[in-house]
Amino acid sequence: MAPIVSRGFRGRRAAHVDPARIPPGQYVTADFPVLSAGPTPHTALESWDFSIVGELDEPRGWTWEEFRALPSEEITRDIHCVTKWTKLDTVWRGVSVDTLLEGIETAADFVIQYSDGGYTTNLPLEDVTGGKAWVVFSYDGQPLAPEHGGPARMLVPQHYFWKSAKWVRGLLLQSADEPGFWETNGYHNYGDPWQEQRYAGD
Amino acid sequence: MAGTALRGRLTWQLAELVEAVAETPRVKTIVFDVPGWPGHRAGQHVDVRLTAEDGYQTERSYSIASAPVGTRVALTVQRLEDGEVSPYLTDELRPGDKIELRGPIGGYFVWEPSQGGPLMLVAGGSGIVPLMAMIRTRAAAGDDTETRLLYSSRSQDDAIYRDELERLSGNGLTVVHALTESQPPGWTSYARRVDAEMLAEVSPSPAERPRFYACGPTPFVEAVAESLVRLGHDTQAIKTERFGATGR
Amino acid sequence: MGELMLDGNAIAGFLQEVFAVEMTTAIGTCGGCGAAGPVGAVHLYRGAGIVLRCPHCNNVLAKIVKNDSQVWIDFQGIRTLELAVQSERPKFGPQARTSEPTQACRLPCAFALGLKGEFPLWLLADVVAGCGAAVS
Repeated sequence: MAPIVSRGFRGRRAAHVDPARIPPGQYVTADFPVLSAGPTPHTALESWDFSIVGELDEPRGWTWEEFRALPSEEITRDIHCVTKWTKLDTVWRGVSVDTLLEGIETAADFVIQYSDGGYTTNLPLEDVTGGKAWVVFSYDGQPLAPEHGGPARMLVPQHYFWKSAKWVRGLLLQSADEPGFWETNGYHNYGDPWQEQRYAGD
Repeated sequence: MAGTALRGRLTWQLAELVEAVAETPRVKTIVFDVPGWPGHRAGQHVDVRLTAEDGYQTERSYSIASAPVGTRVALTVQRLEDGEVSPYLTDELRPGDKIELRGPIGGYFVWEPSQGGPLMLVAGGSGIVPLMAMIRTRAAAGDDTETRLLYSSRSQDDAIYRDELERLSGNGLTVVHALTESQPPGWTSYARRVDAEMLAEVSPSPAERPRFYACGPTPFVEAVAESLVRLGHDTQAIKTERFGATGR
Repeated sequence: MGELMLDGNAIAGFLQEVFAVEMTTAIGTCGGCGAAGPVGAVHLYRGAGIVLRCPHCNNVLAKIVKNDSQVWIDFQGIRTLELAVQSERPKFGPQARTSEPTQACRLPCAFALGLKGEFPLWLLADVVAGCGAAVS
């Protein structure tokens, strides 16, 4: 049976939005829904570090102080979740992945983001470089809340948001692609919202 | 075999709202007529699906509040201030409107008189709903299984089904209220959040091997379950249903 | 645990839709710590998809992704799944009954053995119902 329209139901969605900003199948929300694959980790800043590992001459790492001393920038972007909500003009502050990879020589073509709690997600290296990705520590002018991925998460706005790992702790550079937590179980390996690449085979 | 399989499959069907009853300022019971409803067991729920004109769709689950009577299914819905679905159900839906619903669903968080007791029900806020279905089913069956309800609400005005619970008390049913934020003058029952001490005072002892059902917001259920285990109750005798942060 | 965590009851309808049997009473054994318990009591998280975790060790028991036409289920974290089924007795003789609870059916997780990834729903329903018994 085809679903019927529920008289008078609108859902809680923002009106008056330029449709050109909304990828196919998405609905704009004014909220910031919290989705998670597991319990919120609580890593103390004293224990936190961020690493670049894998196919590079020497792994790199930063403590929280060292990470926060890196040049950071304010980023305003629309974000798109595969569960169909889109949030416009989200404001973050973070360190560009280009900054983190500066001076690194690698033959790797792929990067796997890995997080506290075991979550992983994969992308081609070229999709996190050239101004396309950040490790962010602040949302909307405030330190990033744990439920939203704090102390730091990835921001890769050109892909569905499952490809921006919360509680990120490092980037693993590899020649071989390695589908991550969701990519191995039905979600699309690349996840371009503008081509509506939600599921494997899309 | 085919009949069994069909019974197993859940399908979406249209349910018509026939009655709406305000329970408290924020809570309403909405009663549906569901053609072909096979009846249900206390503790089961339904999934509700709403579709907007532009195709936007969302689903929620609601515990069935009523004992099974014909094709009637009552849901008790708490209107969440910034809710997407609950304000629609409590404020917009009118008798005659139809929504998509499927059920009855669930087999774990279920109680039937044949399972016996003593029964200990612990409700936090809207977690009372499935437990009320158990109490109503018990009453409708004329069952006198020893049953205790510990029901935590913010204030007396927020306590759902208050009068009915008072009426049903006795014949083996004991109702204990905990009002956590404000209490009326002369209040003699609990005036704080549910804790291990309160559970120890209200619950049957572990030696009596009670069956527990705890329902409400996740932090409430977690705290109750943990306390009960520390009090020496068998983990397997504690059944839980979590409603998330604010309840459904 | 967090406020966001739910339990297996929250997807009871979905599981019944996929498996054609009530699943929250099924007993799962965690492949991580060996603890066993009903699916209704496992911890549930809603991310891009659904994640079921062991209430004892937080091991991922299952991941579920669905769209309008397909479901992907990874069961690798569940070692075995035990379901109570009813078998229909033959309808002859004074001992005949139409149905009677029998022993529990232990499904070695064929799913856990690597049958992850996309597979048709009819196969799932058949495997679950598959011990030659009618499933109630």
